[in-house]
Amino acid sequence: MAYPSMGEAHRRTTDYLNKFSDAVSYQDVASLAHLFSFSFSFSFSSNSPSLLSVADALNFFQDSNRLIKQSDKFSQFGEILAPLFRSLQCYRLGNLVDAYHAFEKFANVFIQEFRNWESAWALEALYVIAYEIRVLAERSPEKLKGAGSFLTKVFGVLAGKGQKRVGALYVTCQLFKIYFKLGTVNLCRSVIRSIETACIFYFEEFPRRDKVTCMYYTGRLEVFNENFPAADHKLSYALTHCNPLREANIRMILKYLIPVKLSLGILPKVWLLEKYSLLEYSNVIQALKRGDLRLLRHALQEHEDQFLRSGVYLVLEKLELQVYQRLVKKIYFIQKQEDPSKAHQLKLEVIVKALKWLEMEVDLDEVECIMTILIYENLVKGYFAHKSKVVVLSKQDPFPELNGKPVNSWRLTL
Amino acid sequence: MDESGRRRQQRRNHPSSSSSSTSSSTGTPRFRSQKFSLNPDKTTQSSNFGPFSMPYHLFVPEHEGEMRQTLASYILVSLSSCLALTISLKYVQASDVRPLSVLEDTLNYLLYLLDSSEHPFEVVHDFIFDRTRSIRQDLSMQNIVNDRAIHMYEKMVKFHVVSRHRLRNCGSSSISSLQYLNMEQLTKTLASLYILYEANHRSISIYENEAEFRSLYVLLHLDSKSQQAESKSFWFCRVPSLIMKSKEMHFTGQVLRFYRMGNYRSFLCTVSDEPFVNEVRTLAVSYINNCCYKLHPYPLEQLSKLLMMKESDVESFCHACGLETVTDDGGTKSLPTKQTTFSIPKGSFQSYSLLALQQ
Repeated sequence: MAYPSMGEAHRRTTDYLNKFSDAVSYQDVASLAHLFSFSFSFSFSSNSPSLLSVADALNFFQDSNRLIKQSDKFSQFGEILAPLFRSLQCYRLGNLVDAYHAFEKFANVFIQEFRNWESAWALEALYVIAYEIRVLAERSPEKLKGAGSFLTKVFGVLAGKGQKRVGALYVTCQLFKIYFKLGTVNLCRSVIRSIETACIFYFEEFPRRDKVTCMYYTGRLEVFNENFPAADHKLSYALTHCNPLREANIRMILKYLIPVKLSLGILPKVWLLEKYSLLEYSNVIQALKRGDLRLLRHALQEHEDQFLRSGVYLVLEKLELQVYQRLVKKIYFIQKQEDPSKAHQLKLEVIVKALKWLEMEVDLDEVECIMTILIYENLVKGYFAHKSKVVVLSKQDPFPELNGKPVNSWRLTL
Repeated sequence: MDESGRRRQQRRNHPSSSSSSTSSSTGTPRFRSQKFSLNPDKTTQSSNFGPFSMPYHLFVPEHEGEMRQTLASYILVSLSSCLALTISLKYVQASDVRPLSVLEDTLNYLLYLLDSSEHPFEVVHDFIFDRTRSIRQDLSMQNIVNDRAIHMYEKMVKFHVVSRHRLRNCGSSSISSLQYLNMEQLTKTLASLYILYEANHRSISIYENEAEFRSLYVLLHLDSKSQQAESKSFWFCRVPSLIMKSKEMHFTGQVLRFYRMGNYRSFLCTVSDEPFVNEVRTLAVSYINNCCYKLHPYPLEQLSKLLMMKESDVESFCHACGLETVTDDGGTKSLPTKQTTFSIPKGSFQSYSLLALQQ
């Protein structure tokens, strides 16, 4: 840490106060936001060391409150600036818990002022505050819950009528990130309800970046709950509207969209997996194409940790039924080549044999069970003759495509 | 007021005869602790707790007898169809909270009572239920989060699991509310146990029984649409990798896979736990009725092997599902398929024994 002289410290602090005051007076939101953008200013990649130098000055000077009170120009913002300075000082010293507390205090006062301003000129500054609150809380995890409560309050200020409402979705996205980090995704439901209630008529008015982020998180929630058509709609929206240059973001969306599409019977091309480094799905897709159950199980085992962490493991596991369908279809095609008149009759023992080749030891009862599941779920059309241990396939379209509809959960149909 | 009126007044003022308490025989809400009357005399060394006698100090703090007589110190929390009694925190003093060793002794004694055959199980359960909750409260108030607390929570989870099983065989009218509350406390105790595991993960990677108790959550909430359970996928996200690789979680993962796929054959060969077993049996009957050849009725003998039930039980099970069975000239019973009268049985199933256990 560089220690400035007293005079230099005084100069830097006064300079900061002037910038703050002028930014508010002239409604210069870009300059204003910069003054409390801690994460940007303190990052290694930042080319603007001004906040750093102000923080050093404050830690050296230690009497900024007197400076604030000295002039009417500054003292009118005293309640905002005092906690902001405290936060900056603590942040510079690495005392992140205190930095968070002070920042939240500053943010609370700022919100009160923001509320009083008729126009939405300071919205970008509010975005920075919401962002910094979240990032600060993530670095002191015990504050995450508090950050969630604070942002819910901010959401309340923004949601509703008027120009300020356009900021509500950004704050919502920060809330989603906090809830996902906290593991309290059930709290997202109330936020989503509020957004849907407050913003149902003007979703398209929100900035594109916020819509994409919102659809990404709500799409992920649908994946967790295995609502695949809804997940497909939301994640596809996010993908379509995402900036094509943001490859990292596209990758994040595809990580969830691919399992969803697979559940709907839609397979991505290999180049997509290669371009966005999602090769963990390649064996899953191969297994679906080949009807290779062994390959599917192997792929799930190989990337078990990764799939579990991202929450797609159970989704991929359920593809087993489609893999079985593909296997039975292949047996049907082979039989059709040998004897077309008898192709529609599949003996259970043939399926047992095919599974044995795949190193899956199953008995006739289990194969019978699997065939009844496939017939019930409309993955196979036909019926099962228990006496002769034969599946009799329909002569027309015995293996219906999913066509964008997921395999039904039996819980829904029972 | 005459003498009889004074006596009636005294009876009304006594906590055990509070107007809020009602007869347990009606199954309506009552103060649980008042079933076991307390001797408010602090100097007595033991107290008669209804059917159970044990040293007073192991159950309640010294002042509790007095406090329970002061209605203002009660906070009543309405919980679905039952009242739960808790003591206002502002009246709790440091001396009221039992130290860890006393709590351990108390818990061990309570679990010893679990095998008591002198009393109906719902009475035993009720008694232990209240006291284990009080133990958890004492642990929580003292912020005890060490190994010993973990072992105690594990034992309390086991109590609730045993109760879950045994309450099903009880016939009293208040059983469904007892079952509901038991399940609720089981979930809460498990959640607290997981927090303890995570709090102690710095000193040890995973605990000896952690995999077993983590997998218990999955087995209790196979149906992810149940309100008490969060999304399974999201739950798995946060389980430590070492746990996921354990044999307990591997087994649980298989059971979950069978359940989610509707693979009744493998599920029924693996699991004996009602109500999921009967749920899957219903599914199996539904599938077979729907998918099998109409002209070949499905033999009940084969069905009994699939459903892991006695043949006579299979027949009544089919009837409960709205399906008819037929008997041919040779006496062989079977299920005609493609019947349109299938329905999910309403209410709870009668208890069907598992074929494998009988063998």
